[in-house]
Amino acid sequence: MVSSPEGYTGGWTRRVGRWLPMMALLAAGIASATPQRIVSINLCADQLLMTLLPRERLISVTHLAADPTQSMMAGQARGVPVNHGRADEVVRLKPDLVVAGRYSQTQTVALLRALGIPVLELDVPSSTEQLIKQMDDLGQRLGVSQTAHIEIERFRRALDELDRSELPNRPLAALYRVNRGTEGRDTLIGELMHRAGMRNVADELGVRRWGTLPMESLLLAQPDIIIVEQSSDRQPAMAHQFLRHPALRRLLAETQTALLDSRDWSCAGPWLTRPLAQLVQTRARWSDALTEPATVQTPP
Amino acid sequence: MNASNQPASVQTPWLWPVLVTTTVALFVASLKVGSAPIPLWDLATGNAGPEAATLSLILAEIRLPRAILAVFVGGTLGLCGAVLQGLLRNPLAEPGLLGASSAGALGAVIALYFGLTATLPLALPLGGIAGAVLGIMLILFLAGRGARPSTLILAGVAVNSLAGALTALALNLAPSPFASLEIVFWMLGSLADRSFEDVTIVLPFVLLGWPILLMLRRPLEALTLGEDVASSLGFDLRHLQLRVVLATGLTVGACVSVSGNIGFVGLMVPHLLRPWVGHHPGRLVAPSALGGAALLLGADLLTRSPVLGQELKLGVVTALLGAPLFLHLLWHLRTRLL
Amino acid sequence: MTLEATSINLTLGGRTILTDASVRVDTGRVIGLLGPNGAGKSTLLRSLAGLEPSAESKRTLDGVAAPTRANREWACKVAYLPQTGDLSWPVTVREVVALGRLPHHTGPWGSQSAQDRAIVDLAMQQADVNSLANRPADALSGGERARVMLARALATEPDYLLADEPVAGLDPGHQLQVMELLRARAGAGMGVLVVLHDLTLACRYCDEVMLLYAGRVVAQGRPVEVLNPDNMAKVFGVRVLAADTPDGPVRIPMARLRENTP
Repeated sequence: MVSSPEGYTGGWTRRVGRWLPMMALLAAGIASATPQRIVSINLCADQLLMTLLPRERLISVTHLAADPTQSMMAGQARGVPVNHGRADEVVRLKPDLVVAGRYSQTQTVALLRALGIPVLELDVPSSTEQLIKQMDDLGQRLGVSQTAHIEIERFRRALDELDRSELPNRPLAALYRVNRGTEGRDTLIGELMHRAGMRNVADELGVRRWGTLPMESLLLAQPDIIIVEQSSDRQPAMAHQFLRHPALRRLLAETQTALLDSRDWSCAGPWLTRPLAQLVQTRARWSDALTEPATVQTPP
Repeated sequence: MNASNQPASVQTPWLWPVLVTTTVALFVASLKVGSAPIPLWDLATGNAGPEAATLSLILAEIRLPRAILAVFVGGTLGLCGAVLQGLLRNPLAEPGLLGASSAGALGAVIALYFGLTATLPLALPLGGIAGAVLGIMLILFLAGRGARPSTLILAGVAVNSLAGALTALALNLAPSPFASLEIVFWMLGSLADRSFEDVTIVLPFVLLGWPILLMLRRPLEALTLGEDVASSLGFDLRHLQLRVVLATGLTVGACVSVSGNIGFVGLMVPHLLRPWVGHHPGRLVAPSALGGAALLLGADLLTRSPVLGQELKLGVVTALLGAPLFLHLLWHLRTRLL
Repeated sequence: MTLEATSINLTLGGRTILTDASVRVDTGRVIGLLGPNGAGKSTLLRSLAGLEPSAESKRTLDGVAAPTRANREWACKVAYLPQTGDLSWPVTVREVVALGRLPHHTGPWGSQSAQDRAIVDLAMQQADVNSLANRPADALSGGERARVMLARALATEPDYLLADEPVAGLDPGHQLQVMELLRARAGAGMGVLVVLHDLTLACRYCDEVMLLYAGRVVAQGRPVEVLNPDNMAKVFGVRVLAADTPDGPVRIPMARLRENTP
């Protein structure tokens, strides 16, 4: 930068004046550098992008997005070309921007960057605030801030509407995932449980993020509500067999149960209001059953 | 090996009392120890307080089947270890090292992940049995008659590698997305949160196989003097091999299909008990069943120890105990083996 | 009573080991089996014991055809003593000898009766291994182990004993003692077939001698007749010093003959 001998104040306006047209041009350049051809190689990115982007700018999503057993938005993904997350497929699509998951595809991401393709990595949000910030940033980066803000507003309103965290009676809820897993307060589902007015068994076990929930601990905790993850894939695996355990079946028959479809919350996005609504309903059923202790109903 | 001048063959009279007491004590401990201590006596007499119903449920549906499985699986591994060591006249033989367990795991994996168990629930143990039988047949083919001990170990390495690779492949190709994550279970084994359903899967095969194995005492004694003398003493060796293959495959295969691959039990138990039966290969068989049950009960208790933050896999504990013993055996037998 | 195998033909791996060899053991007699190394003596013995399933032959015990598979009753009557005493586990000498009683036990848990123990003690006494009774059998010298294995074979109280070089590696005193023992057992009614290398022992202790050469039985009969200079030259390629002493005949190989190198 050239230093002016006239002193600080006086030369400043002239300097700005000299750079103003340049900056205007730059701004226009940035605006036109808004990516037009966007490829997603991650299921969660697929779903977020399908929510925020106009169809013509999203030129490819993963094959999982179009798989009804994996994604709730399979219908929307129909007609969009699919990829399998491999660098050679991506390169042929000539994208302006690739969106990936931060921890799951490091090799592919590194390779794409080495080939000069810009990649945006999405973190896994561990709270709704982080999700909202992620949607906001995405909106800005992709030039769809308006759509993003509309979605964020809608999401916030729904969250507020469904907020039961101030209710005095807080039932103890246990989240029992496929493969005996559970999640704690520093995860999205943990926060949803809190918002639905529930206490989380994971807190008693000292689990902040992810952990195992042995069946004994589940039984001993004597939860008021059990949230079971239902996997929509019907393929046999050891992961599903714990649900057949006689002790668990007995517990499920005696306790309010919410069956959450894993497609709804395996990815973070504004659709999280659906599982939240389910949790709120379950809590309401529990609360009703307190006053009429005759029957305990589980959803069909 | 043992060059002491004491009468090495006197069977310690307190062998059975010690084994039985230890096993029973560990069984009872398995029922009591866990995320909450269960007061067995209070439960039985009705003094257990408000949590009684839950504790009873935990005891009956979670801890009891788990302890019973530990007895079946541990007993099987001990039994088969003793039998294989007697047949092959090698103290390093056991279902894990020889690849019978991993071959059984392969069979079970194929049966489970490719939908065979949906049509026929018994397909799971049957798959394990088919795998285990093939594994043992392969071992006997590679290193059966009069092979040097080092050949036997190498054959075991080969079968283990092959079975492990095919298992990884099968899990990779399996339709379920969870499959490739579950390889840890199949390779390291676990008895956590098992139910009586698993016990009923294993029970018929244990009932079939254990008697056959226990009756191998005399032929194994005869084999002390080598195959020719054993044959001349009236023992049909082909028939013996057939019984070993069948009974070991049946029991190990069924157990692995439910517990995953748990190694080193069949190595440790006969080795520890051998001096107490005067080194007799035949007398070693029955005590090894009890010893194996006790060992696995103990190892399973360790996985539930509150010292470690999270639950350890059972195969990790048995490997931590067994691998050093394996090294010790190799070191002391190296002149004989290599 | 007779144990015999007729017309044994055995080919292994392309090599013909035995051709039309017949062998017969009567109770009460000691038969010696002699021949050069590789002539097939051990194989002939094993064939008679039923340990060579690929041998085409007819084996009979007192006219009754032998079973094709290992059989307990047969094992009670015929004991086999191999050349090398295999021992897989360090059990005591007494326990090794006791293994000889296995064919007589029925059921999977057959255990030693008082009678068994007495027979075992007697067998150990006869083989002169009493003093070793409680020693681990893997801590013995070669000769001691050979005698222990012999005691094991005797403990079966068989009608026939098939022994492959039972005196190899024994000191002279024990050589004589074992041959005297076999002679005495034959006197008590046992039929003994023994592979020997020592011509003198064969002469002194065998009722009959069979000479094996290249898989065929080339001579059979009384030892002093079979072990004549012609046969010795033809089969062993040696000149033998023959003598008669008050203790019995003596045959000592003295020189190798150039023409015949088997």
